[in-house]
This record gives sequence, C-alpha cells and structure tokens, in this order.
Amino acid sequence: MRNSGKILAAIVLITIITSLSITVQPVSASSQQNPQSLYPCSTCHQRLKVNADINYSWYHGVDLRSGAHKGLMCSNCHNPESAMMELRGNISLAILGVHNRSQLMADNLLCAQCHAKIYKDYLLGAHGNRTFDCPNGQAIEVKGYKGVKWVYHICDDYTKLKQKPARACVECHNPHDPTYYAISILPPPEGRVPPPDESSITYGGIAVLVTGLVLIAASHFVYKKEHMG
Amino acid sequence: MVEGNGKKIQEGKVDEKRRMAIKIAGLAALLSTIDFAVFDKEEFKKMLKKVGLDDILNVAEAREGLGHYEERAKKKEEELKNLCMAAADKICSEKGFASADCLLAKKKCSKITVKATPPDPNKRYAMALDLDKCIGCRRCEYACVMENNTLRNAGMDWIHIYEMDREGLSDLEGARDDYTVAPKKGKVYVPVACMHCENPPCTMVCPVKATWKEKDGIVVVDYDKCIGCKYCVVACPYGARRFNLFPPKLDPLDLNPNMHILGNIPRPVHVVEKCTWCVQRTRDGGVPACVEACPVGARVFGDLKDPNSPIRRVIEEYGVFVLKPEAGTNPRFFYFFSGAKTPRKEGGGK
Ligand code: SF4
Repeated sequence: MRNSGKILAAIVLITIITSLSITVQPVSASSQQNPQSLYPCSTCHQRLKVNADINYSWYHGVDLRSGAHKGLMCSNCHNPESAMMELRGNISLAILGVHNRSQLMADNLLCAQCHAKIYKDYLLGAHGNRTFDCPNGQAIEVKGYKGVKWVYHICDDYTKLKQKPARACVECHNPHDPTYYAISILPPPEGRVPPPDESSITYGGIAVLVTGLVLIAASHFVYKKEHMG
Repeated sequence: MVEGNGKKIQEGKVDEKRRMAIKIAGLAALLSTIDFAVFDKEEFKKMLKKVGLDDILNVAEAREGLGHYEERAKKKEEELKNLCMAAADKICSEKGFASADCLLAKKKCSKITVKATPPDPNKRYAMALDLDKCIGCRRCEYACVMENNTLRNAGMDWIHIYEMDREGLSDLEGARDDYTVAPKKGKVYVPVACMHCENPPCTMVCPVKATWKEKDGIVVVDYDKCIGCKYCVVACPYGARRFNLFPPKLDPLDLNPNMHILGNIPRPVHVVEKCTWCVQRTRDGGVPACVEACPVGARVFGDLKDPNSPIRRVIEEYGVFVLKPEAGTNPRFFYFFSGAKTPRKEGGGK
C-alpha cells in the first residue's frame, strides 16, 4: 500500500514536471536546438513519409551535408518501406525514445551493411572495448581514485566470467556525425618521479668527464713523484 | 748498500705472506669449482643447451605445486577478510550503520576472493594497442590503479603514457609522461606497461626466482618470495617494474574484492610489482581493466593461439610492431596503426 502510494506520487510529480517543461520550453533557448521535444513524433509521422531526397533537417537537428556520413540521405537508414529494408536484412530501425542495450545492439546490423570490415573487427573484439559478466554479478559504479568513475564487478563467483562487447555502435558513434571526437584527459597521477632534465644530463656528463681527467692527472703526478724521488 | 739490503729483507717477508695468501685463494678457487661442478652440473648443462623455437614457446616454469598456492591464497583470503571487516566497522561507526558507504564496504569485504587460478597451457595471451586511436587520456592508468589495489599517490601506477613525435617513434629520448594537453597534432600517445616478453630479462636476473613467465605468457611476481633487491627493476628495458616503498593500505571502499595471489592482492612493503594483464580477470575469461576502460577502444587483448581471437585479427588485418625490438626481448605487447585516427584537438599546443 505504501509503495503504490509512492508510485502514484512519483507519477503525479513526473506529469507536473513534463507539463511544466512543455509549457516553459517554447520560450527558452534550448527549444531552438531541440524542437522535437515539443511534439511526439507520431503527430507528424502518421502521415508524413521520410523524404528520400533530404539530407538536412533543421527540425531534427540533423545535417548530413558535412561529417563522416556526408552524402547519405535520411531515407538510407530511416525509411523502413524502401528496398533498403531487404538490404538491411529486415531490420526496422528504432527511432528516438529510450532504448535498452539489446535494442541498440540489434541496430548494429544496420551499420554493418556498409562497414563490413569494422563490423567483423567488432564481432571478433578488435574494435570497441569489451567487458564481462559473471553469474549473479553486479556492476557497482563508484567514485574511485581522484574521483574518477569506476565500475567494480561484484560477483559471487569470480571464476566464471564471460566476455561481451561493452557497447553498441551508436553508443560511441553518433550516427548523424559518426566521428569519435577526443574527450578530456585526466591529469598525471601524483608521486611520480619527474623525468630528468636534459641539461642536468649534459652537466652531469661534463662533470664526470672533468673529474675523470683530474683523477688521471693526479695519479700521473703521484706516480711520477714516487719514481723520481 | 745497507738501505738496499734492508729492502730485500723486507721484500722477503712480504713474499712469504703473499705466498700463503695465494695458496689459500687458490684452494678456495679450486673448492668453488668443485662445488660448481658437483652441484650445478645439471643446471649448467641446461644453460648450454641450444634454444629452439619450442623452448621459447613453452618456457619451463618455476611455479611449484599448485596446492601450495591454493593453500596460501586461502590463508590470505581469511586474513584480508578479517582486516577488511575491521576497517569496514570503523567506517560504519563513523558514518552510521545505514549509510551507503558502510553497506558497500561490508558487501565488498564479504565478497573478497583470493584466487590461485593456474595458467592454461593452451593459451598464450597478448595485447595490442592502436596508436591512431589512443588519445592519451590516462583512463587506462586510473582503471589499472583501481583494479589492482595499487597504492594511491605514490607513483606506483603500472601504466605510463608517453607522448612522442609521430615521426620519431623509435626515439624514446624526447618522450614525456607529464603532458597536460592531449591529443596534440603530430604526436602519438604510447602507453607502456609490462610487455610480458618471451625472453624476459627481469626473470633471468632474479636471484631468488621470485618472478617468472607462466605457461599462458603472463610474467608474474611472487610477492612472498621477493626480497626487494630491485635487480629486475634495472633489468627491464621498458621501465615497467615498480618498487613498493610503502606498506599496503586497506580501504574497503577502494578495494577490489576480485584478487589473485600472483596479481592484485595488496602487496607487502618492499617488494617489486608490475602489470599482470589483470591475471585475476583474464585467467577466468574476463578482459583486463584497461581494455574495459579505454574510451576509444584502442586496446585489444586476446589469445594468440586462438585463430578467432581479437589479437589474431589485429595481427592479420593491420600488422603490428613492438617497442625496442633491438633489446631482443620479444614483447607480447604490440602496437599498430589502424588508420582510423581520432581527430587531434585544434590548437592543442605546438
Ligand atoms: S584509455 Fe585508451 S585512449 Fe586513454 S590513454 Fe589509455 S589506451 Fe589511450
């Protein structure tokens, strides 16, 4: 009973927030970039078909006139009723909304139609990273060393681990701009011995040389003195 | 004349003493050769044997009976669990018994497992790294520290990432690991850790055989055998070994409960440690932490003997090279250029 009450409260809260955001967003600047958040897709796409000759849509915030996917049309991937459907092995592409990983993994096959070599790399584990599962396992995300995010695998049995690809294609590559751009780097860890200064090496070398010469001269002098005297 | 005579007499005295000393030294030398001939004949013969390809691929192991390791692992597990629980109790009393930290600490302590998984002789691990993709972000380094229960802030991190000129890759002199802006144009980022060489110089110099190459290709250190002489630190051409100057710290919140007795178990003070390719993960089917953490997927890990493994794909499709081939160490850590370059940052320095 208490649980259902909580859920009800949550639903009411979410409705209020969404309605608020809908009413607030048209005036805010963010709506300029992301207009599709205002309307559900079905409002238009019940009757509108994907246009075969379009590669730029302000409305969707997609521009295929530049970037690595330059030259493609929206319909190359988004028109389920075209001949592409067959080429894709009858994969219907999911559009928008929250998808779980298995759904995204299914979309990999669409990418594979053009990127066969990379897809083979991916299947064999040579492209993208891999992670693993364990029976009854749990992945706990923590703030680790210097606040860097880290996932601990907490398992009952650490001897039966199973490898799998860590992510689907579109989790790393935005399909509308598939280049992977470099992310920020982390600072060098503390406590390291800094690399030696170039000049110190030179000076050290000269010092060794001079000392050596002085020693040779001194020994020669002593030797001479002993034998002469 | 008198003077001369005096000198002669003195010399005569010295002669006798010297003769005695030479006699003793000679005797000692003879004894030592007899000793060598008697006790080390077999060892000597082994050393003189011609080294064939089979010897290189199936290196004889110094690993003793497995029971020994499993017993020790079990003992260590108990010990660590007790220590961890004590530390967890402290956290709980400080932050409250219902706090998230307390629960996580207790959970981790109860899940501590110290394994002694033996090597699978049918496997031969190797790693490859794509220098075109790597952006030098150091995420692998941090992941390594957290996975392997490495001491924090002590310069103990096993992976170092060197920034080098794309053109002069063989020139290690100008390599720096303290850059703060990356990736720059015209530079490559070369993460360096233990190369798990086929001919590891570090294991040859160990006077107590505390480090060796296992049958699956992983070079390990037995922390209980190590006497901390640091010979191996000097012998490694890649600077991959670290000497542990500080006693271990056991913070249950930072602890990785998945441990291997030859891998990431908290190390005692004054021993040498290094990358083990996450032996606690890989021997049981997982992937090393750096491979999991790399945001660009630059790292590839697999079994050289399996034709469908990622590493074989990389070697066959892209071709690989190693660092310092002239050292004759035959590393099993490869580098390659896939051609898919991660864009360098505009204006990222000189
Ligand atoms: S995590 Fe990947 S990209 Fe970052 S430094 Fe390591 S290998 Fe390079």
